Amino acid sequence: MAYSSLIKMKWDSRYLSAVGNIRVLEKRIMGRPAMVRLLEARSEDEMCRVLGDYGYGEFLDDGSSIHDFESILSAHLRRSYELIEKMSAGRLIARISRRRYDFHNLKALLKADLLGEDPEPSLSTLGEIPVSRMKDVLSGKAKEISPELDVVVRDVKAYLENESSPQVVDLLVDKAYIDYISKMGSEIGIQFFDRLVSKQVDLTNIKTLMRIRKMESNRKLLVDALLPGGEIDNAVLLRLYDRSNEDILSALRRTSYASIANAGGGEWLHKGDISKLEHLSDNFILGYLGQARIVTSGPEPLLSYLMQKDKEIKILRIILVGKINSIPLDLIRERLTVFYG
Amino acid sequence: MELGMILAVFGAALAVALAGIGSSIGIGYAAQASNGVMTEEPEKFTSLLILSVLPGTQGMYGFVVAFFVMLKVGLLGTTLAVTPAQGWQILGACLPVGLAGLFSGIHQGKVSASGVAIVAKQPQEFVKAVIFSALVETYAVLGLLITILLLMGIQVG
Amino acid sequence: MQQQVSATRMELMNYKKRLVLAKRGHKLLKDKRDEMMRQFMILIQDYRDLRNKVEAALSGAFQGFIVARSGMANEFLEEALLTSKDKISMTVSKGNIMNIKIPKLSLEYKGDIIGYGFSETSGDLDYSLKLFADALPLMVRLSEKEKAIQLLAVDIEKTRRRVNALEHVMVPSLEDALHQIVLRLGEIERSALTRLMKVKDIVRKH
Repeated sequence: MAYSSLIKMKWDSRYLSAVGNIRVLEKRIMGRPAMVRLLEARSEDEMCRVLGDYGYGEFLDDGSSIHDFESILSAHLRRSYELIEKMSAGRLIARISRRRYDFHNLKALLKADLLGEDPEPSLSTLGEIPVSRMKDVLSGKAKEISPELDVVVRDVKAYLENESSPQVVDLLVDKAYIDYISKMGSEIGIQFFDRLVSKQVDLTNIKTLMRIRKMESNRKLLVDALLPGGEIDNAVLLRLYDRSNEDILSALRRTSYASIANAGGGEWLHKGDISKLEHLSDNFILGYLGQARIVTSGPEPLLSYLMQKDKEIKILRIILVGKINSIPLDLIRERLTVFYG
Repeated sequence: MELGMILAVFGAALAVALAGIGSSIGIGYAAQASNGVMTEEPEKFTSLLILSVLPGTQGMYGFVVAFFVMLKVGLLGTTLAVTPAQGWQILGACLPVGLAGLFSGIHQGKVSASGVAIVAKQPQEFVKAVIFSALVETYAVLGLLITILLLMGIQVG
Repeated sequence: MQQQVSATRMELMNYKKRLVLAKRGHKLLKDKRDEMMRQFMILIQDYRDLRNKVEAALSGAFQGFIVARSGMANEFLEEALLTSKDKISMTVSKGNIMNIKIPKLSLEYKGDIIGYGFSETSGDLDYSLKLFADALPLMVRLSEKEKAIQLLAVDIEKTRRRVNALEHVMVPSLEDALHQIVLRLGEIERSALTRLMKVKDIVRKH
């Protein structure tokens, strides 16, 4: 895959030992063979054994069943985040990744508040900021959560004074999150991270464009939904909204995401199925992060590790959900192929 | 002490100090990376130690050169008379090992630190990691060689 | 069955009339029942087709949902599904089949079922929700059919009972009564005749 020009990575000797550590941990990320082993496991015991081999053991004991996989996965992910945080000695880079869950929690609380629903099932335990503090702020008992989240609360409240589409709450918070991480990215001055964010924004925007077109929704939704800060200008995407699917694909082929458009575009064009494109985008980002392989000292490998963990958990979820709901193995295997290329 | 002797001592000091700085930074890098691996896999200590020690040779070269200079000007026994010209020569001769040691030490440290990642992932490729690290070593050795040849060429007394 | 009937010609005529009425009623009701059965069978056929369609739609939607669910963390899914942008309203009006009142449901579906942001959700989720949204009108029609079938079944049962009552109780008992009256009248006639002959005989002897 092409990742445009080479990215400058700074030598930062503070990360030497962390990177050494990561290199060992990376070996324990479940690769394709491990996933196939899990997929072909015949009993729950066997599945637990495979998971145990890859660091899920400690969340599996005291008779917990594979059916509680959500809590097992999120406990494992949580530990990975904490590990990275410890390694990077509380430096910004690790905290940025966890902020995603804070924004998510805030989003859930705001929406639940609006509708009078129970937010509990939607709350993530991976966030850094206690949910109780967010609740206090929303109910007016406390004043502030943290600067970046306070801005969001204010914006959303201002919006809700005039209109009340819960979807826009999502869109506003998503935008605020991207704003926040791009700002942080330029603050810590790691070019690798900056580019990562803008690539993710691009890919999300492209997918959003395709999804909204399929919904027979209106253009205004797209205007609201496009995230800022991508390499592809939002005006270009908005123009593409009115064009044919073929035009969109050929426009994509001229960007740095040509490989995705080539490999997954057909599926979308003929079947309207964008799941292949989605997986290819995930892989694209992982491929980009793969450049961190050459970094001996810098925060890049830490980020890359977290993303690889994310992918691992994503695939695990697919396998486990599939097995629990007894979806044909071939169907799951097919999806694995997309992930591992 | 005359100017010649001052320059000779200064040269010896530079050789040790520069090469030593290079080595210590280099070892520092490699050892930090090694520590990271050790937290998970302590059994790899030997391979990691070898990689970490590699950038240390520059310091040794500096040390050898300094000793050589001391012998040359008789600082260990009866001191010889060193003219300012000879002093400048000795100082100049000391620079290759010092500077080459400084930079190669740091860079060898970086290469070793990357080598640590190889040991972490594919222990069987350990030797290759050492070879890459040793490539950097070449230039420290060349620096040492020239310094010694130069020192031998300088007639004192 | 033995019943108390007064054996008069008046009564005979009455019973004859009633028997004719009962027979006609029986025929009419039987026709009604047959027609209802026909309608019922049509409805059942429709219902079966629709049911298959709904089942296929729902199982497709659920499978799609499992796929979507497997692609997202639970909390993210829950959050996305907290809200929906669509507005559904249903109105009930009356229709009829063979004079039986059945409900007619009409569904008004506005907006889009998708009411979440895009950066944390997947296209698979859009797809499966769309399938659910598509299944909804089918399900409403299915429930409408089901209710109609239920009501029709109740009415068929009622009609059938009436037909049976007429056929097996009313008509035989009327025929029976008629028969008795005829017998009785014959008896009376014969006894009157005998009496007359006897009287005639006595009169002649004198």
